[in-house]
Amino acid sequence: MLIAPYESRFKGFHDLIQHRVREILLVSTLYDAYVLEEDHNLSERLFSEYVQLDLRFVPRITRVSTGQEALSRLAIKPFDLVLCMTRLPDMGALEFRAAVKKKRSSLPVMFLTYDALDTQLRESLQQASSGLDRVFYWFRDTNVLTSIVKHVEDSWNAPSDTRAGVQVILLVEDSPRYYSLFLPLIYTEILTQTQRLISEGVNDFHRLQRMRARPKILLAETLNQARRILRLYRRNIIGIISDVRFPAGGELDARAGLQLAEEVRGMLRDVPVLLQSSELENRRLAHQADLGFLFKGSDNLGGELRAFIQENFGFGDFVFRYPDRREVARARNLHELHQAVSWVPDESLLFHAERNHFSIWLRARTEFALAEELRPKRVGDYSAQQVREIILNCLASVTTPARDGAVHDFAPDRLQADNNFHKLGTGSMGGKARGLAFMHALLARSQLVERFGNMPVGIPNTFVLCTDVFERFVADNSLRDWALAQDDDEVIAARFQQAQLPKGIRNDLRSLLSSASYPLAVRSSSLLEDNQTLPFAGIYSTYMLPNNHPDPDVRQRQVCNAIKRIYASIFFRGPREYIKNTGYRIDEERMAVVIQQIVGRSHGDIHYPTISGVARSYNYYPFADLKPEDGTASLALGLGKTIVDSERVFHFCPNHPHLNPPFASAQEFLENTQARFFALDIGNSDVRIATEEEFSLRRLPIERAERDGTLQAIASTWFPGEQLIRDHMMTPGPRVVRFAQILKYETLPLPEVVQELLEVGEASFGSPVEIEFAVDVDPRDMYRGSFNFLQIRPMQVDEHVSDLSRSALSADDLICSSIQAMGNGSYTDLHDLVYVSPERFDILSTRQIAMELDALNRQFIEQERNYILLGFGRWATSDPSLGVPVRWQQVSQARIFVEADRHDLWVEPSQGSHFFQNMLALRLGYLFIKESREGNRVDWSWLQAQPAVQETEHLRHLRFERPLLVEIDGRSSRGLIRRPVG
Amino acid sequence: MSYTNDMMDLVIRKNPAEKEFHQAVKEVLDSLAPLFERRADYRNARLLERFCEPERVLMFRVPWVNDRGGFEVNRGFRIEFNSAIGPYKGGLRFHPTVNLGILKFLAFEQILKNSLTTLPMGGGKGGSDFDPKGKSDNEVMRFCQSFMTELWRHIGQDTDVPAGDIGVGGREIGFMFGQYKRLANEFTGVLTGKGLNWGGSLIRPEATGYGSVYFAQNMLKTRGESLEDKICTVSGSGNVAQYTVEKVNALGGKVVTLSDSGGTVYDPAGIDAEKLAYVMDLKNVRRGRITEYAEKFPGVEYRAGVRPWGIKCDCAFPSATQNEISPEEGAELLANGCYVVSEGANMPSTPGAVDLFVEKKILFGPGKAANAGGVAVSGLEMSQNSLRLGWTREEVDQRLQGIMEAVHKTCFETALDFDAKDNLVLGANIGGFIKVADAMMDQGLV
Repeated sequence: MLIAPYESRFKGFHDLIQHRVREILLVSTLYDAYVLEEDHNLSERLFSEYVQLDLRFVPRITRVSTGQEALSRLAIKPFDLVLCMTRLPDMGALEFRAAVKKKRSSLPVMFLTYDALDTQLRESLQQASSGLDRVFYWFRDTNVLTSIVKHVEDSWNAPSDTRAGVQVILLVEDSPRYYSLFLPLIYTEILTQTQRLISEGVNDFHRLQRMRARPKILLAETLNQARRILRLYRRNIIGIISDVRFPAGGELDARAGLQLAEEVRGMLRDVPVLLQSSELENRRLAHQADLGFLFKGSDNLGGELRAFIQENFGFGDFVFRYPDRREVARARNLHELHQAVSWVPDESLLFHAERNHFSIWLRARTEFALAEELRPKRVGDYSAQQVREIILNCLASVTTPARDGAVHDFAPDRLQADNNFHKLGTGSMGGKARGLAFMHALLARSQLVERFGNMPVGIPNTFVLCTDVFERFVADNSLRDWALAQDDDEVIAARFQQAQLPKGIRNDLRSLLSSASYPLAVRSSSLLEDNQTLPFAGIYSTYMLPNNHPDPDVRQRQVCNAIKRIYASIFFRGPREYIKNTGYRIDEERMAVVIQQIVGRSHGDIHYPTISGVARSYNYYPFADLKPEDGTASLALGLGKTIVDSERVFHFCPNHPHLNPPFASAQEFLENTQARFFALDIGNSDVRIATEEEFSLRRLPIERAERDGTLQAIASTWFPGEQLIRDHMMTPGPRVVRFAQILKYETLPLPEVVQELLEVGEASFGSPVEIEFAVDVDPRDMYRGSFNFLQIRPMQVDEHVSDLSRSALSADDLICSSIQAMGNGSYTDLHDLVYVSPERFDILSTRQIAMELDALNRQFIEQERNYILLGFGRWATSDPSLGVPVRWQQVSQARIFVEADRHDLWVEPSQGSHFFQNMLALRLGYLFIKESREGNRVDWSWLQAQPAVQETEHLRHLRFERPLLVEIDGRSSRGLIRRPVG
Repeated sequence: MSYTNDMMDLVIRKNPAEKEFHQAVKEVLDSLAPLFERRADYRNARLLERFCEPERVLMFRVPWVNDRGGFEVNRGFRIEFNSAIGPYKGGLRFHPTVNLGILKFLAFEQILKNSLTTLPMGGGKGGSDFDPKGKSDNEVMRFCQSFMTELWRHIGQDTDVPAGDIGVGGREIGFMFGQYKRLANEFTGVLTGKGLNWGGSLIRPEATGYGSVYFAQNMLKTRGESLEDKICTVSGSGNVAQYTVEKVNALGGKVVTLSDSGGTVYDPAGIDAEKLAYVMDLKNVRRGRITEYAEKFPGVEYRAGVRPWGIKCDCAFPSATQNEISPEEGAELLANGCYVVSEGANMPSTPGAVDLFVEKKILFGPGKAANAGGVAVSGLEMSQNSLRLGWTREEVDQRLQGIMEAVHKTCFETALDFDAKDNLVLGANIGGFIKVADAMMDQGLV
């Protein structure tokens, strides 16, 4: 199972910085308080810095004046940190600390002193075993305060966060005066770096991720503490800033810093070490050891520290230099780095590569995985060209479209061609987009994108308008209450069309369209849609637009109209009935909209993909030796509407792609092959959005595809004189669209990709899934194509099974029985049955029958009753010559659907239409009755003999005092309807 | 008790549980009653006992390996029923319902069908309970090869020449021929239905349709008429129907209908070559509904959900499916002036309709005679293979025409002989049998 690698790549950043300082107890005298308050307004400073960093948790400060007061507060409220001035009116600092520790031994107590340092206190703290409690020197700069908070958090979170790759800066300094100086300086640099990275973040999540993954600073005051940190975090150390003279082995050691640096070099060759000392003679020793040096007495201590950090810790721009330090180029971000690496001179490239500057820089930017990929490679093992290629390949994995897997916030000025999933708004993306975004991320984090070399796997350019846009639109135009009171879909649609989308949205759409010059599908993505248990498949509409009008205003208007139409459809009768049936309320539903590039190529006045497909990880109709778990897939030439409408398409098992469909002969193959396909009409750029989704589509014979050159990669030829099909198109003759080139001769790894996605999808959703996709095949080279993932949604599969024996189907009291039933269990509360009278049925009248059903169904809605529906041919077909073309809302109260055949109407059972999906989701029953087969029958004479409560031209409605019993055995696919008892 | 009744009892006793075979024998024996009144020599030679007993029945194991590496075992059959007038000839059927009784029934019928063509073909049938549905091409190939690995020793161009049937098309014939060739180390016409560039014959798709028209033409000739200017109704719109229209047009008639499962198109102006080309494209390439024909051409009426038998015509060519002419529809045909019915499909007329046609003495060509064109072309493929020649389309068509004339002659003259002029049902049943029976008589007790 391949889910494990996908999964592991998702872990990490969510768990960062789990321990936070939320409540601070500040203990200070009135005077100290006054100083803090007057000079610096501590709370405000803390708050502003946290806001600057967009940190979600701003610590709250509770201030008390005395030690006693503090202890009382500690007894009633859980604080995370105690900040205490060294001078308290009622007790000494050490006494206070001891009292606190008595109450909560793990609570850190940090002391602040703003004048002469209290040596006794300092020594006591150093001797204490706690390790975290320290005294800080107060430079009248509140940066120290925020640094203390961060320092405490860093100490808490380092053990877990470093496991996710977070970096560590080791500061070795035993002097409170200097660590009080250095910590704010380093944190400031980290802040600057983090802000840079955040501003480059593609979305909130990405920004949050980068913020949480900022480097941590761990403070050691002795050589042993430093060694311990090195030992624990050696893989995470980004740099070391160390004093030279500090305690080692219990004694102050004048060369401890040099000793430490030497040890570091032994185990971490490329980690930069900066020694800082107030003793100038250490400069020479540092330089001898090729270490950085900072003189503590320098007037520009902060500036020099900043320069060292930027130069050596990978913060700031990546500055390409020659070995003589001359600057060659400068990269501000990954894209610029990628570009620069491709051309900078070898000597510069090798200069940085030898010093691991690339991995250091990437680490500092929280690109840990990339850094890990580069770091182990030794420059000496490769030529300069190879080094360049290695780095470029590595960087390509984050700068190539779709690979970052993130959903980018839409920003007109940052709309990059290589980011292909954007969203606008802060609300939900809705079910459909959620599934897409999930797969987008999965694909990016797996090797699936490029694993199948001649058929890259990706997602078409996608732009999502989140649900908050819908809510604003509905609220701004006061549409909700009005629409809920309406009964006519067209009236609702018209009013929505007149309303205006928010101006900002219109502008954003215009920006989007300026770079999206390809055909677009505007699709619904409602909150409830593609829900785990409730697929709203086919309930809302999709509009396809050629998006090629020369006037950008017109293109913008077309997209806006499609969006508004989709917004309106929430309030249409069909969806409202559906939502009601599912037990939800209409006010729980919200609509996001997906605007997506239509996969395919343009051929003159039409545009279509070579292949559209739907695959399911569970097969309701396994044939031969296949198991339901083997899954099934349906393929069609052109747009997917052919499949959705259950027209003739090609079915195969992705697990066994060589198996032919269950046709008895080549002739049957021919009779069941796709003859027409759907394409987007791009000949008319001035489209008007209409009720029917088909307004911009054309249904064409497959000869057109042959002329376009798209058929060659997927079709075979029927040779009537020899009664066989040959898998080529070199000879004229009837074409059979059976994808043999791909499925039998493996020109493209389509079955493997489908199988993998189904497996991953099923493992991710925890249930069988259905995916939709489109494949574009290069008309000049059938061995090249691209796989475009369009949608994923969970499938409903019943696990509970009721047992129905074969003999049960031959009982005398049955109205009908079927050996091809779907659903499961018993239905015991149905008193009504509506059926198409066999005497009055006429294939020419199926549209009329749909209208009659609509009227009857309305009565059932009013009476809140359900019924069994029995008729000829396929329910909800789009082809009126195959059955009754009802729409969902016209039969919303039916609970059992029976499809019977007759001598002049012979159709195979529907498999996998959206309608069918909904039937399963709502746990409706389905019986397919082919009367010529054993076990299948309808007792028409009994039905005809029953008095009808009402009759229309083609329908009879029977009502029984006692319920009809419907039983369906999901495992054996047997089903029956019994006459009422008594 | 009559000889035929005694025979029926014997067949049931000797072949218990083969209901389909019982039924086939009964139907034939019933239709032969007038013959046995005249031919005492048959009884003496125990001819029916011999005729109802296959010369040889082969039943064998067919093991093969599926794509997953699993072992599968099917049962293979070849019924070599009668070789009195030529090598055994008859199709192979791959279908899960195949069993001994069904194949014996089919082989028994095949004897008489083949005999009627006047070609030297005996009767046989074979197959397996293998289900080619949902199998991969490689699985089908492995099965066919295993099947032929046993069968090859029993067949040969002068012994037994199997053809295709349900579940056995060009693909399966190819796989089996390849394996036969490999085992026998010879390239001979041991199977028919072969590919055109490796021994197959032209005109296969056309043969049945053409044949039924030729048969009608011959029927009309007995009344001094021809198809010239005849109004013809054709049901169906598949191969048989399409080539029926083509040949009717070629012979000067006018076809005014075609149909499919949705309904019938009525084109009073006639379906000429151009319109037929449209139908062929519609049905063979685009796989559309016949209603599109009505939308395409002016003056065409589409009658949904009905068959063409309510339309006034001289000749009817039921070319769609079984039981497509009910007694009521038969009566309607006659009421509308139809006096020629030539069955291109298999048993399109219900027994009630057949009785009506015979009773009213119209020119009725029963399927076993009128649609013998398909079988005939199989025989012509054997001839071409023996000659090591490949005839042109015209040559095959010409011979087909000759065969259909001979078929009709056999039926017509036999009916005359039995004082049942124009009862070609009787003529076909008895005519086909006599040819085989007399050959058996001539060849002694074998």
